[in-house]
Order: sequence, then structure tokens, then C-alpha cells
Amino acid sequence: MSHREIMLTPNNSLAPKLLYSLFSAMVFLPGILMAAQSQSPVNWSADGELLVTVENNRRILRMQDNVRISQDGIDISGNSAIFEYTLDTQELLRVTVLGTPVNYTQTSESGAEPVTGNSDTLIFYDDELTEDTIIEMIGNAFIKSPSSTMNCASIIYITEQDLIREAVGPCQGALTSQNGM
Amino acid sequence: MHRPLTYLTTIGVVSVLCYFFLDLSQTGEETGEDSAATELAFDGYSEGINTVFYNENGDVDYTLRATRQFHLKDQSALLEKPLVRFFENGVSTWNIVAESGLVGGNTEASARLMESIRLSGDVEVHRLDDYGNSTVLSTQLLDIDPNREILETQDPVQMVTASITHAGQGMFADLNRDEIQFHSNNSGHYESQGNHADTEQ
Repeated sequence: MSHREIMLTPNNSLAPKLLYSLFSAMVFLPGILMAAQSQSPVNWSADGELLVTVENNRRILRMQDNVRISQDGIDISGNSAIFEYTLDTQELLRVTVLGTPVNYTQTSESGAEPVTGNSDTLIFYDDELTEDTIIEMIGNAFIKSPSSTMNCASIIYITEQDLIREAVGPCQGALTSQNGM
Repeated sequence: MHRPLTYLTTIGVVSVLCYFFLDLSQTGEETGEDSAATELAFDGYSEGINTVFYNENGDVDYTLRATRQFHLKDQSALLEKPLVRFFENGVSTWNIVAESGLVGGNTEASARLMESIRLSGDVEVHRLDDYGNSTVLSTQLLDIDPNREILETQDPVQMVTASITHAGQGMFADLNRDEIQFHSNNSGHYESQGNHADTEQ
């Protein structure tokens, strides 16, 4: 499999925008579209302590040691995690995972190559408007899909669309030629 | 001439031996049963107890109910179907039920009588929050410090809310601070209430 490398200097202010545009335009993969994950059940496990508290009108679950989280085809692992729920409706607002690093894997039902990634911190939540599942990878963010790889300071990724919505540089990435590029 | 006598003697000896052997083994079994049985001597008995405990301000702190209570000679009390209810500003906050309970003990007699309550058998801790959402904690053994409003166990615990089902090994809960800590082996599941409603429909 041949790659077309795109190397961008860290100080190039166009780099993130260029990469963002490229990925937004190209990384749609018809075969890898995920089933809608919003409102899907979320499972978790942790070897260590789990603390349930109420803070700032939210119910908080903090867990640590070998934390694993899954939702449909998404699997996330890290050292610790914080789940935030509303108090009144008990809806899950967002999950923050910390790790060295946090590992992310997203498989598709079509059997296509999984999307993988890692970062220092990972936050996932449902977009209020579109109900898409948003993955924010913060600090040493890396993501690899069948069509590309990308390294940035942070990446915001939409799982259902396999789309990188935002990327904060410095970035560097590579596109595979299988997309006809 | 002597054979019938010999037979009779042999039969007699065997019968006597059998009798003593059976008697001895029965005695042994009875002794074993006695040692296995838990004998609790009680010096008091009551039905339908309802005890109210007040705090320093004279407000109801917690109540302790049971269908039956046996007061034991070591100053402890065995409770049948106990119900512990904690109050805050006159409103019931946490309710705890179980199959049985043990209050106090012979540690420092009656002075420490109500410093601990040990509940066992299908222990359930119920909480209804300001929004009407319930939280239920289930375990098989639970120690309660009613004065500090602290719950502790080393047994497996399950927590169920409207959207969360969680299980962990061991628990420490501070009811005043609304904090629950599961010690290890945690696993859980979240499902939005919208999904529950869809399923029910």
C-alpha cells in the first residue's frame, strides 16, 4: 500500500486548516459508516476504586486502574475516567479518559480496517444538535483510519461519519492512495 | 452338645457390640449436632419495635424498626426484618432494609449499643433524590454507623439508578456527603432513560 506523505512544519499556520480541509473532503468512507451511537448503552470496567459523588449539580463517577469503556463498536482504555451525568434526568453528558496514553479503537460492522488512535486525554460526548458521537483527543493526538494517519496537538473526530472535524497543530499526516488521490 | 451354646453366645456378643456401637455413633452425631448449632441465649423479646433517635437539636436523626427483636445476654440485640431510616430536616432520605440485623454487642455494653448495626441477608439501601430518581444499593452484609451515617461492606455490591447499573467489590458510603466508594473490580452499564422507554413501548 503506497502512501502520499504530507509533512508540514510545526510553525506553518496553514497546516491544521489544510489537513482539516483534506480530511473533511476525503475521509468519508462509505463502507465504514458506523451505526448511530448516540443514546447507545455505554459499558465500563475498572480494576481500582470507583467514587460516586454529586458536584456542581452533576452526578460524577470517577474510576481508576485499567479503565475500559465500550459503546457499540468503540473501545477506549486508559488509566482513569470521569463520567458526568445530569442530576435531574440522569443522562450521560460526557466521559473524560486520562491515560499514558488513552487508546481508542472503532470497528465497523462491514469488517473494514478499524479506526485507531491515542492521546493523553480523550473526551467523548454526543453533539447536542446532531446527536453525533464526538471524540476529542487532546495532547499528542494520533488517529489512523484505513485512508489516513494524522498526528496533532489535538483532534476532534466524529465517529459516525469517520470525519475529523477540527485539528489543532502542529500536525503531520499521511494519506493512503486507496482513495484515488 | 456345645455348638448351640457357642452360637447363642456368639449371637449375644455380636448383639451387645452392635447395640453399643450404634449407641456410641448416635451419641457422637448428637454431640456433633450440638457443637454445630448456634445457641443464643436471650433474656428479652419484643415484637414490632420502632425506636426513634434524635440529634443534638432534637430533630429525628434516624429510626430503627424491626418485626421482632431478641435481646441477648451479651447486651446485643438480634433484629428480624429491620428497617433503618435516616432523616434530614424531618424528611426521610435513606432507607435500609434487610432480612436480619445485629445491634451493639458485648464490646462496651450498652454505652456503645447503638454505635453499629450489622445487617445481613438481602440488604437494600434505598434513596430517592430531589428529582424523584431512585438509587438502590444491594449487598448481603452491611455495617452501619448510624451516628456518622456511614455504610461499609467488603462484600459485592450492586448499585442501580434510573440509567446506571453498577457492580463492585466492597463499599464505603458517606450518606451525609452523598458519596459512595466502591473498592475494586468495578463494572457497569449506562442506558439512557429514553432507551428504556423505547424498550417498554
